[in-house]
Amino acid sequence: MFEKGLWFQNYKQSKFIIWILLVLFVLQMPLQAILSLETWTERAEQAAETDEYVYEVQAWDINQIFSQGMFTVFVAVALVLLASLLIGLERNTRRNDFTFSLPYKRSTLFYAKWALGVTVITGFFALNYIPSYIIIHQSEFAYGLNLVSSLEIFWAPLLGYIFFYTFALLIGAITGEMVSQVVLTFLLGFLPLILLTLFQEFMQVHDFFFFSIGSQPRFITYLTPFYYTIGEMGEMIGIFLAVLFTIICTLGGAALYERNKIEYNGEFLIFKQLNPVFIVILTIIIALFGGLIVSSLAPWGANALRIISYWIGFSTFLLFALLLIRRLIIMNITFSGKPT
Amino acid sequence: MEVKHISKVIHHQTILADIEFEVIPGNIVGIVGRNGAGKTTLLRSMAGILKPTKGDITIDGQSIFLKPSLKAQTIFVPDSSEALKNYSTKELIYLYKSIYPHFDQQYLEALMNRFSLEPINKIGNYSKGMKALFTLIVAFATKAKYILLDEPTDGLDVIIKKQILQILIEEVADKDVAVIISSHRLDELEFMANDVILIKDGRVDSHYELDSMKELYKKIQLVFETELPEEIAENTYVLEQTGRVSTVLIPRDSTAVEELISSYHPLLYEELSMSLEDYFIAKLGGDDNV
Amino acid sequence: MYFHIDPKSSIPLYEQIVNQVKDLTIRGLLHPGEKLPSVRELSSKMVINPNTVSKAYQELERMGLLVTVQGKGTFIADKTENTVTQREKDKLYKEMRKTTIDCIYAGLSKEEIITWINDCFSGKEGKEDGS
Repeated sequence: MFEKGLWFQNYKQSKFIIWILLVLFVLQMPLQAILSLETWTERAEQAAETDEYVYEVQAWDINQIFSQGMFTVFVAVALVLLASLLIGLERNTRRNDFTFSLPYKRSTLFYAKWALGVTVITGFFALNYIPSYIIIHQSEFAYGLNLVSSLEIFWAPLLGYIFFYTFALLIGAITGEMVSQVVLTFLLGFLPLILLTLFQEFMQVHDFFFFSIGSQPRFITYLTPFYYTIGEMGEMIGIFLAVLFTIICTLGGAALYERNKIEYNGEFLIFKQLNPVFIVILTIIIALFGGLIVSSLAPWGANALRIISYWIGFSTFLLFALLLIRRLIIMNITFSGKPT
Repeated sequence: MEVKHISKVIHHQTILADIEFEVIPGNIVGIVGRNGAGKTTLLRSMAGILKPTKGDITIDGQSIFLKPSLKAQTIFVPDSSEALKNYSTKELIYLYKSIYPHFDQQYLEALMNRFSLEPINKIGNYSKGMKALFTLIVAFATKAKYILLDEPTDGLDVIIKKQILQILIEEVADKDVAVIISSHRLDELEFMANDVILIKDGRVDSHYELDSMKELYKKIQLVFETELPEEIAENTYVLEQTGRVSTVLIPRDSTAVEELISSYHPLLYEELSMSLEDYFIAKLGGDDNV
Repeated sequence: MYFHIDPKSSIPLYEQIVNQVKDLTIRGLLHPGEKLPSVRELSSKMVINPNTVSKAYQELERMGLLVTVQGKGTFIADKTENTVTQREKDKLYKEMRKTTIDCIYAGLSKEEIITWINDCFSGKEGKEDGS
């Protein structure tokens, strides 16, 4: 894990996104903290002028700076790109031949990639967290920090990012190239949520319920990796799951990477036995999604029409899915020709 | 280093089948075969990049797949330096130095001077020949015992080609290293390799030591009244046939074949000088050889 | 130091080198005590396997044409010490006899044949063999 040659090599092939990540954290935390202070001061002044109420910073305002909001989504995207530069892109080029010829275990190669990412995330996060915290702490809005816990604004986002990054590496261990890695990471990162939404819609259209729909069950949130990056886990159980999932993904990823068949680099999946699983999942999702889209065009009152249009959408997209999947199975993206 | 009965199946296609041989330091081993015969797959397996479907690669009796640290003794030089093209010479030296503990920077610098290779910011900006030279020098500087070269001289001009082969020979003469070279050009390897492994359709078609080669076969030019009798064609390797004149390869000590030929009363029976390439062509299939 | 190798020849490579060293020595182009290039140098120059060169040198050393001084290099021996076995002598006698008979049938006179032999001893330019 600490071979400096591997650190150097990994850094060299991902430094672009590593520095983007730093920029994102700077924008999210210190810069946003400064700008928020401005905004809050302005609001407080306005509130004082109109004399009607005293402006108070809410927990939500603080969370926006540390663990929620638009920037966390950007960070999540950057983390997926980082993981895909370290594993996926290597597969698209001849670099994988180089790394695999080195005198290291493949799991060591995987751990080195993991360690680089985790160090970068932890380092940059802490580096930006501390000054932002101090900035707010020194201001007149310091009380806002008491509205949130350190679990919410420090541990949850940090461990959430680490988990999501590890998750993206795990996906990299089973996919054959960069684009598949990115696409699958997002798809699986949202999968429980996507399935829930699609089934709910399916049941609603048919007015037939296996389970009641109301607010989103909490376990779906826990099972959806993406939620870990957007500050949804500010509680003990969330933290615990983030750590647990990180351990599972690290060990699992290393084990899968060890069994890597790089002759399948450039193809959709490295492990051919996973093909049927993904074909089924993808087909179902696409078909259900087709139903959802087309049925939403039908007027709300016309139930029969909605069901018909649902199935029209379903079958069209099913066909489309089958065609797409055939392409996926035979695809091969390598940038410098397949060595013979 | 031993290649132990390795087979490789990719997409249900057998690329390598039961390949076995041994590499002893101090030798230059040529792996020869037509394009697509499985040479690169074999080299990549020997470098530990691909895991064989069956069989194993061992160094000092231990599997390189179970004990990857053994791979510090091998280095693989692919036919393109694509993988590290964005590195500067300095970065590359740093990288190799931190991976190969015995990396010899002095040797590297001495050879770079000898071939007037200037340090550069991006290895990708070296000319093709310089890249090939540089990667080879770096490979030798790692002090690895087994150097695996995939088509090292492919597409290079004669001068660079000669320089590359010379470095290689000097290394083998100086140190206890083994060089394993794949090539589809036998003429280049003919005097360099003392051990040639011919691969056809993923199998070892023949394996011989160079010096014994010429003692095994002879090349004969034959002219008959009519066309080449079929019985002769079946019992010899036909290298070339133009009209009534044919050139065939026969085992040097086979009186049976010679008697067979004389029984057809050839108008001309003349021994010609033979190169290994003749043998290669005969074994791997006629004039349509790529 | 020049050696010519003929890739097409059916004579094994190391034997070509052996023959050429013999030839150059007899013709006086290589002097006793002269240093030969090292195995490394020669194989690199000729782009051939070092084992081939060292095999040739070993063969020449066995014949007494070369001496290797540890750490200094390989030199042409002072005089061709007679290290040939009786069997090899017999073989050479047979070859000589065959060649002589061929010459007689080719209509050469005894004097002519003797002149050629003398040429060999005096190191005059003869037809280069060994290739």
